[in-house]
Amino acid sequence: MLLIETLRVALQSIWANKMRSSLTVLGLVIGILSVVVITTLGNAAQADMTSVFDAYGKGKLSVGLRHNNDRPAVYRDYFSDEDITAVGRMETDVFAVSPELSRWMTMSHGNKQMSIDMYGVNQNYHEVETVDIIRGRFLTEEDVLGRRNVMVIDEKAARYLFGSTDCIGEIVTLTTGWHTVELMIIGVDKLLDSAILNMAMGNYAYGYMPITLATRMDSIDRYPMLLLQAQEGLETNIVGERVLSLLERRNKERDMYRVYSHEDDLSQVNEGIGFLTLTVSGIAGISLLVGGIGIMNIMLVSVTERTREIGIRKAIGAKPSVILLQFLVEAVILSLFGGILGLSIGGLISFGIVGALGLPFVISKGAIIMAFVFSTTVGIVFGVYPANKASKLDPIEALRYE
Amino acid sequence: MISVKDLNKVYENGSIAVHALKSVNLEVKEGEFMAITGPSGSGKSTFMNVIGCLDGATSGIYILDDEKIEDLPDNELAEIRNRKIGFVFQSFNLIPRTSALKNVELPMMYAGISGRVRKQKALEALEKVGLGDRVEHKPNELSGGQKQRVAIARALVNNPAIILADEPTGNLDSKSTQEVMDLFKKLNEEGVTILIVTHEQEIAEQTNRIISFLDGEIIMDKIIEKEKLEKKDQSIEA
Repeated sequence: MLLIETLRVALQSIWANKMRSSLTVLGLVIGILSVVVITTLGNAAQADMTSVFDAYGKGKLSVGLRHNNDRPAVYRDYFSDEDITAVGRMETDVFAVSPELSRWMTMSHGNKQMSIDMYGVNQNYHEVETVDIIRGRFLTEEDVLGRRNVMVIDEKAARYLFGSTDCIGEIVTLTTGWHTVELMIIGVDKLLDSAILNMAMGNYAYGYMPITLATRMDSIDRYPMLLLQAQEGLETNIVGERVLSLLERRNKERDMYRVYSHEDDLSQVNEGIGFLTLTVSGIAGISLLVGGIGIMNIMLVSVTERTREIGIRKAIGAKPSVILLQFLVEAVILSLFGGILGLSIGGLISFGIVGALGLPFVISKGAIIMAFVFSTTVGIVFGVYPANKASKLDPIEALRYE
Repeated sequence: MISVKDLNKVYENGSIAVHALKSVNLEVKEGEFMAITGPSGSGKSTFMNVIGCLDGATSGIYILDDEKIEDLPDNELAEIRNRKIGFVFQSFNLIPRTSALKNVELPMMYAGISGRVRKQKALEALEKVGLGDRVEHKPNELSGGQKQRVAIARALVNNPAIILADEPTGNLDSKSTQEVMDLFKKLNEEGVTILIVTHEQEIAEQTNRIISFLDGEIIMDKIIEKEKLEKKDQSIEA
């Protein structure tokens, strides 16, 4: 009963000072709003990355050379065709394997010219990496073994050079600076379904050519990196370990190779996003502190203004604890009001931003709980001092207060 | 009802000790209607604060309604004020922006009385002070006399042992003053013990007993004859 009355009085007091109450909670609104927006964006980015991974990245591994200072990697440490064949024979573990050799090249067609990251790969590459051909076809074994002058281009490059993806059969010129080749486009690869990755890549464009052609252009016959797809249902990391030990046995080298999975990549990226989110939230959280001080300030003003009222209430029998609760409830309502306002505005803003970026909108339960917990905590922490001050007022002094 | 023996109150004001009450003795019986008078600084307000359990005495014995009031913790003093004392102040001291009804309900709220009983008792009390038609009015919508009657209703509503009124007519015009005094008289006739602190002789003489303070001591304790009181009433009416 007394609690309802306490709530009523608190609401009445806040309502009687609408302008002041609104301004007071502004700091808190901004704080909660920022944290909500940041965590929502962070969650959206993580959800985006995870969905990309789930679609394309499961069971994918890459093996490269370790760069250690005592024993720097040299050309003969690169992977040979025999290594690839040996890894390819691990049929219970490995579903597909492809070498990878990438070089920046300049691609031109007519009077248009652009930089492109060219990957020399084999016909298995579409099994070990994300390839989604929307026009034409991917490289075949014949293309690779026959060292044919063909390439797959990505959607972005196709649109830049040809204005559309309708470019199968077109001839483009690629040059590394020393070597120049003319390649026919046989396929177009679709852009990833990830707003974040596409945004991060900007103007980055890539293409695929037969590995045999790439090594020829570089005058080498070994490969710096292997990509592979683990057999379905196996622990990717265990497959990685097995491939690693095979390569170490074959080449009588230890600690020369390193393997990492897309899962590692994903968890690293998500860890990065998470850390960033947390850090920025932390900074935004400082405004919660500022908001809290604002609330404490206004509650102190309120206690002073209502000194006489406190005196009356005490004289007619309000215990100190009742007065304490009264002002504490008022502080908490004030900050909860700020929290709800911040949550709503923050939700709307992040909905807008996430929508504009084309990311999935996930308003996390965490953000909602956080808004309530934070604002309540701020209310209690910063309300206790003024409330305690009110409860300790001497009724005689308080009644005399003008 | 009230029994005060050898009551002392000393304020330590820096190095100077102010002896506000000096060995005060007083007995108040149930149903009395009395006034405490004296010039300012005489100790009457201090005495009132002690009697009202707003302040503790330095030494001496104070028994209120068979309960010995000692240096009790704030919580217990609050409870005693709530149950046994009804305050009426010079400046009304109603809670602002709160209806007359809610103001009168407040002491019952602190006593933990349930909502329905509370409302009914508050309405009865407001009816008794003649404000049955003003229950939803806020203090700023009431005249001074009406405000003071709301305050009296609030003081009454928990059936206290005593009503303590500190200069209850100090802020009122003569018409409202008489209304309030008539109300006190009516309540006293119904058996309510009332103690009024006033410096106005006119007011004091309307009670049945006058106590005068000077320099922290009771210098006069006068019972007013019933006939004289009636005669005075007649003279006002005339």
